[in-house]
Amino acid sequence: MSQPKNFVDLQEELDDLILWFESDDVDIDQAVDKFKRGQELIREIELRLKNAELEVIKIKKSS
Amino acid sequence: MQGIEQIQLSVSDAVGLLNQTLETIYPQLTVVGELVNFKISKDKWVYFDIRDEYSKLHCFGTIYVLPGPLEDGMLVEVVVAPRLHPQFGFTANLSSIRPVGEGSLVKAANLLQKKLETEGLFAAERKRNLPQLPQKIALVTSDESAAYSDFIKIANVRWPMLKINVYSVLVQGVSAPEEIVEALSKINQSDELDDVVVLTRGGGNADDLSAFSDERVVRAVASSRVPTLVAIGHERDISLSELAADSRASTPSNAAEVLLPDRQDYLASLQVKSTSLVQAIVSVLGAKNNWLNSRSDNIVTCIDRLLLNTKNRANAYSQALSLLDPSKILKRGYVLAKNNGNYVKSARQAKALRKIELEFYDGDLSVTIE
Repeated sequence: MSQPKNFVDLQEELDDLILWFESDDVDIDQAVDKFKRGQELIREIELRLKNAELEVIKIKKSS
Repeated sequence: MQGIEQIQLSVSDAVGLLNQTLETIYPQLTVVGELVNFKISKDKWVYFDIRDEYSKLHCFGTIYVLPGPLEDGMLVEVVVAPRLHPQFGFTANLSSIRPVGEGSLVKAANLLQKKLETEGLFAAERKRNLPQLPQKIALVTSDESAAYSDFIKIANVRWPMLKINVYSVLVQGVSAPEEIVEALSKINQSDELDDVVVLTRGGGNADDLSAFSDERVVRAVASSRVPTLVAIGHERDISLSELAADSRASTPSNAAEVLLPDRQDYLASLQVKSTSLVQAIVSVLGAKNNWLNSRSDNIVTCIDRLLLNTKNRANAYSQALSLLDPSKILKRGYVLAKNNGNYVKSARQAKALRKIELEFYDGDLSVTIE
């Protein structure tokens, strides 16, 4: 199973997808698939933002 | 038992004994005084005296402990190990030196700023952009400071999708530059580099903030592989580290604001993207529907045109055929001659017959030939 994408990758995929819709030659079959993927990405991004928790790690000094 | 005063010592033994005593009783002294006779030799050694109204102390060390360019007349604080040199007599071996007092600090900072400016360390073209959505931050500050809590608090509110690696360091005092340089070095040698390094501390007087204008710290900031954001003191304070950094912020809280997007704003922008996606698919489907409608209209037009052509052609044929209709020709005065149902087509043929039938448009007539 592939690794879940990190947040920046999700955002980039969504932005690329929106850009794709702005191109001149949009195929209708692809458009429907990409629209569905866009909706999934938005849901995933919202979910991650909602559940995010700051991770603070204190790095020990070198002795 | 003999006292030390009764033992005859060689000169070297006497020097060794005195150094042992000095090392035990006064391993290090922190002394403040005016810097005089400051000299650098062979780009490695540094000699100077510090003095007050009544006394003078000769110091010796390496340039690697210098906080930046220094010059005579500055008030400095030195940490030294007093020693008796076998050849040159009493000297104070230098561990650290830093200007103290606002006047000296400003003077030292100005000298260093000029020097580093000449080297191009603060040049605009060296500045890199900070990542738009950092995921891993190296935070260099004292983890007991208000700067630390402020940064973490704002980060938690604005953008908690973060991993913050905290490198706690002294942010003032003699050891501060060394600790900051070490933290920056560690950050830059890490196997997995952070997206950005934030170096910060809250406000203080010129002396408190002086570590951030130390040449070693400024150079470490400038040479960092990881992009740097430095925020020192209050709005009005500008340290040389901030000038060398890729970006600066006015306070620790402002550093978090500069670096991190606001979650609420981000969610709003996501809503805009969602709307634009819906509009895009509606527009694509609408365009496809229009395309189909226009194609359908074209097909109907073609069929209509085809039907019309066929009809016109049929009419033409019909007209042509009607012109050839024999009954219509008879109406124009022509007569058909027949004999027993066969057409008589010539006078010679008729002369051989005694009787023929003539067909008029309105009926037949039998005729006898004489």
